[in-house]
Amino acid sequence: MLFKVKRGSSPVSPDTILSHKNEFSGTLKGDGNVRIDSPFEGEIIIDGELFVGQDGRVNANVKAKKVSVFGEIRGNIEATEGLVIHNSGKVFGDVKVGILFVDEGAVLEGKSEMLRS
Amino acid sequence: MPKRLNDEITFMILPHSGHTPFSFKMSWGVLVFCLTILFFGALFVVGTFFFALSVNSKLSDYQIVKSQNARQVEEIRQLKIESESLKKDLKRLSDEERELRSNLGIPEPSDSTSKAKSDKSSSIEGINPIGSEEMGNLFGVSMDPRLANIKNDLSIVRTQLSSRERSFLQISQIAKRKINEYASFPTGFPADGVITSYFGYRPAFGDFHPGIDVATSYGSPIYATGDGVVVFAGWYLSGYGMTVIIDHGNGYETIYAHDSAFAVRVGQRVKRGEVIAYIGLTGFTTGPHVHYEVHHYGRTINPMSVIGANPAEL
Repeated sequence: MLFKVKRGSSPVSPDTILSHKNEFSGTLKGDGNVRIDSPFEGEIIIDGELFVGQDGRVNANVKAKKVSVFGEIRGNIEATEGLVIHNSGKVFGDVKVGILFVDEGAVLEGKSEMLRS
Repeated sequence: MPKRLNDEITFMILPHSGHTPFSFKMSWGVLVFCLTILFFGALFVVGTFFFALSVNSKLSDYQIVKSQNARQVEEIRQLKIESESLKKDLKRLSDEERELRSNLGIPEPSDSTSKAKSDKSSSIEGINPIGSEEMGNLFGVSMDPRLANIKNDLSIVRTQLSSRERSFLQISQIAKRKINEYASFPTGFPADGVITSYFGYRPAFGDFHPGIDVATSYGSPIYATGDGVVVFAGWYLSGYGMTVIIDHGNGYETIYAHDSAFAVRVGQRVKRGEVIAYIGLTGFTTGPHVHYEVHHYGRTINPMSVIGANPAEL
């Protein structure tokens, strides 16, 4: 198996951090891993992992290898490897994922579609 | 690495649980200082740990050494007692030897040994302080004085023993010679009988009797009174009848008269107690007896003065 989701499996270290003291809007593109702890508005297309901390408020369509959510994402998500919504996480939008994991207490409102290779 | 220790760096803590990250900054100097403190702290802790380990092992060593020491103290005490008793035995031995020497008539050993002996016997009474001090210097100042005493005692005992050994060897050689020599003294009794006439003036006969008469039954054996050589066996003078004369050396000659027969020939070596002749009635005699005379350098002496005497005192 390429990617094994476990409860508490730790995300990789981020290359880019958007701090909770700032706000961002625009398009985020790149190969690195990103951690967002701030409000964000726009579009995210990355080849790495997106990590949304509990302070993160992402209002964008997301395309990434893997997405971990502790905060909130409003928008459609396409995660080729997997989407993990932790217990404090909220996702409002349609998701297209290789693997989907939704923890107890997490919120997912939208259609879900599994990507098959 | 930083150019200056005042340059600052930021540490950011990103909880992977998704909680709010936080960051703090510090200068390289502080970091280096903290790391140094940490390093030496860790070093101290590790060092203390190993030190404690080594102390622990040393402590067990110490316990072993302590018990060993207690045992050795006991052993030293035993050794001390042993060496004391050895010294006492040696003292007794040397006293006995002195007595033996005086009994045998052997003089004390030559000057050097006797001097050494007197030195030793003076030091055997009390511990020679100079000796023990020397011993202490030789074996280091830390040496147990009790051990030094014992070593001192033992060395005294050793030298004493070797001098005793030499002395006893001399005594035994002299004694061997003396035993041979003494055997030749005519201290024996000539026959198994009773003395009927003593040496000296006899009022009954009105003459001077030059020997003793020992009367017993006819044909009883007559014994040589000491080792010697038979120098005469035949008819002697007019009144003696058949007579044996033995030369014992050291000026002693014995004469056995009135014999009935001889058991030895002239020139024969005889031992004390050996039968040389038999009681008879030859010569002028009133009954079967042996007339026994002792001559010392040609002079007649009282046989009673040599019979049973200690040869060393003759």
